[in-house]
Amino acid sequence: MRILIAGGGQAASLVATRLIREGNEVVLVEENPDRCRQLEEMLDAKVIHGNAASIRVLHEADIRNADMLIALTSQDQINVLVCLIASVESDVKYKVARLRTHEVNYWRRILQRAGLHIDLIIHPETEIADRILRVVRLPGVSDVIDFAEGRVKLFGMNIEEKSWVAYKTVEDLDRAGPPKNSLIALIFRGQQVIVPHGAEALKPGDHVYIVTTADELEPVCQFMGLQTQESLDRVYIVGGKQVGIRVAELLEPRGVTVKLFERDIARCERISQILRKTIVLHADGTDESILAEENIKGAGAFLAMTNDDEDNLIASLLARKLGAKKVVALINRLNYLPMAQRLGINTTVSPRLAAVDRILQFVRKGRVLSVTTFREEEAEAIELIAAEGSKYVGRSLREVRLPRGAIVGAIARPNGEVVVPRGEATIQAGDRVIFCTLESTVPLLESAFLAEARREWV
Amino acid sequence: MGVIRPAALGYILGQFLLALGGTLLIPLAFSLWSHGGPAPLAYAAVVTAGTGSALFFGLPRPATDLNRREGLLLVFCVWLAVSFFGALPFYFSPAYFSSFTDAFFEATSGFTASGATILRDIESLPRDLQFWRCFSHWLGGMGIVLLGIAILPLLGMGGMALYRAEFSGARSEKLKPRIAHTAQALWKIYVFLTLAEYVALRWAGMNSFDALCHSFSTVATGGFSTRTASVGAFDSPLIECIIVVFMLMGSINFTLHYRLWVERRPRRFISDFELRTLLFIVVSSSLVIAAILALKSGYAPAMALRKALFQVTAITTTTGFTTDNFAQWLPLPQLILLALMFMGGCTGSTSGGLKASRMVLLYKVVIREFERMVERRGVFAVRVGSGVIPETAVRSLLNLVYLSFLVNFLGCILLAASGVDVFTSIAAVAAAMFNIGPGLGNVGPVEGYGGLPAFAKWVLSFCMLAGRLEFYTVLVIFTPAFWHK
Repeated sequence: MRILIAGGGQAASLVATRLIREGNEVVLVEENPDRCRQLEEMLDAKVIHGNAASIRVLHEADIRNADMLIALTSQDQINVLVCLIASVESDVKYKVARLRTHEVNYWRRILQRAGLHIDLIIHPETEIADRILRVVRLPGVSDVIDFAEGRVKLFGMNIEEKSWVAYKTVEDLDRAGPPKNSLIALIFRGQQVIVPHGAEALKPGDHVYIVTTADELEPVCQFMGLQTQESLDRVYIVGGKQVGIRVAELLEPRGVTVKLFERDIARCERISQILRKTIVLHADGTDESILAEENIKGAGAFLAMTNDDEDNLIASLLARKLGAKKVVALINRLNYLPMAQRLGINTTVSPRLAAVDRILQFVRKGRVLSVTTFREEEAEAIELIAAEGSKYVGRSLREVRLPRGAIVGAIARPNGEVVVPRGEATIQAGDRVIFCTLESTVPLLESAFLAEARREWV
Repeated sequence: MGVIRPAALGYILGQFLLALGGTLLIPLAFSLWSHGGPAPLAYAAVVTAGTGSALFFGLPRPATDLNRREGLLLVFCVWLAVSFFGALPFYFSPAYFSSFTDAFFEATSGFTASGATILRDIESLPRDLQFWRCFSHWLGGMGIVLLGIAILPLLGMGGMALYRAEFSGARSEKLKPRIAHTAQALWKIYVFLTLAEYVALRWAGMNSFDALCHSFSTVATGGFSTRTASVGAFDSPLIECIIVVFMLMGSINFTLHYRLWVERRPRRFISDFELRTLLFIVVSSSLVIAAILALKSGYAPAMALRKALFQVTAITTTTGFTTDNFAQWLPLPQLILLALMFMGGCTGSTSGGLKASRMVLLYKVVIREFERMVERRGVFAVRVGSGVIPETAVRSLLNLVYLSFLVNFLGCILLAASGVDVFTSIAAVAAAMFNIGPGLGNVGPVEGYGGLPAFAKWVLSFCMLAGRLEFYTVLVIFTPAFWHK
């Protein structure tokens, strides 16, 4: 497939890397000449220098022959404009645009009414807010990802030195009698990604992902030595930007006390008009004395959501030190993510990764229901529907040979039953199967699992 | 810039050698009917493939893509290795090549599509070696590494860095999003032109072996022939005409060929300023030389034009076929040819030289300097054709021109030091560095390079490689900065 990407930022280059590796032809349009040169060296793609909203530039990028357009420039107006030009000047099959305005829902309606059909509008802030809400109640959990309409959960946690599971092998944990439906699916250790077998031991500092069902999420967390909060009492949000406001809005009806720090007085006033119950504080959330005064100790969650990565990191570290139960940091720059992990901030949200996940999920639509990328790109969790005639269908997992580096996390049957399999389970046609896998085996899995080669996307 | 991993380079080099070992089997088909016993080509194929598989299977697959530094080094190593192993069939034929120096010179001249030869009698050479000489032109003409990118699937690594390091810079845009597809598109055009010429030459009455070899040599703008007297041996205006056309084809930017043959946009082809410049220079130089030949050297007017056009085209496109011994011409035509050697064909083509567009650009830069002297506060853009040339490109152009003259001068000094006369030195270095082939003076079309001292042959071999890779790629490896940690 020929894909035209407008914009050459971090999200664009990440999406391009993945799409190229999956066999697509990618053309990028980027305005900054230095960035163009960088992209050209990084990617096996054609890079066109110019403004993406220029018709001449888009023609140079051969928009006429593109199958898909992904508008990822930093400006919403340009993204919409590119889609508009594409819908007139070419018959691009699929259009994807990223919008960052908080008025995104109006825009969806307006674009529809105006007859400009955009197949996917990504609003990273919404995705992030949803992701935060899922983990905010679970202090030790870095991340919860839903599969099969939320029936299957995949959650991440850090292994602490003093936790009872440290130095235990996967087999040891099995013998200790964990809840029935649970499985350690991926271990991130330093730069390494491990799909564990029985003898693999968990080491302090590891970041592990565990599959379980919705009902058993809390028992599994407790089994792994994590405390869960029955109800959230106090949540602190630093930074009155889109994500912060959105999360506050979502928490308010749940009866949670939310306090929001914002440095800019004019913004504080605006936010106080938008949010009804939230207490808006005109204060610097990265100031230790202010945080100490606010009694952060024992607070349910502390969310650092300013536009500045460094501020978010500092505020998160302070909050951890002061004893907040759950700390979440918003990180824009992807190269900060591993460092945040090392500093012990295990829940990070990134608008760029959120956008990348959403795009990949869309590109593989029809074949893959859900995609989550870990650690930029080395590992993935994907959800597939087992097709009739696949060589994996109708045989127990013990018999079939999965590609190396892949593990079946869970099987969700059409009747609502969910199994986290232990070798004897059998995949039936129509089941939704959640795989945890190294990125390199994704294409292999897809083609083997879907039997009839629905490759029109590749 | 990143660290250089010898194992990674060795692994990829191994792939190239394996492939080269395979291509050595092609001329083996001709050995079967010219030789009785096992041919030198068979030995060469075994040694090459053996070395290649030792590297390829013995070394671990590199975990990450090549970085820029490795890319530059790899391109140079590939060219060096290909010339070395490509020389083996000659080295194993001591009846024709007395030393490894001669064999290496011949092979380098082959792969760089220069066409300079140490042989004086080509007809006596066995057919398989004749074929290998012309075939090596063809393999190298479009770029060995480019060929590798097109057909070796494992070479996706660091593609653009390799592409840039080998393919002549300035105006070679990527035709397709993926580097491998771009390389394949260019090679398809190349194969198409070769086949077209083969058909044309057969139609003009050449036998199939000669037609094949000459097609390889022409489109690659190489210059090796199957005859000692080069194309002159056929003495056919029709054949000369066909070869003139295809020499020009080979020296036109292949992006333009793509526009014409694939996208079918002939206007973009015809309106290209570099192509027009090239044609203008070829025609005007031919007319001037024809006039001199007719008036001063006693050629019949039609013959003068025919000889002049062929020689001028062969030199300008850096092919180096001959139909006349131009080393015996009057001084002025010889000097015109020497100047044409420096220019060469178009960027992004198979020809060598500094390239026509760079010459135009250089002229415009000089004019702008004059304008600046007059209008002290003026800001002038350098325009070439319909585009404006960015300042960075102007700077790298001036560097390149300076560098080529410097290397040229150093080469001349080294040649003179080994006892070659001044005019021969200048012509030999230019002819080698710009991948033309036959020079002037004592290395003219008849004498060849066989009489030069061994040291001079090594210097010229290096010049051919440096010129083929447009100086930077080769010379950067000899700078201390390249090896800094």
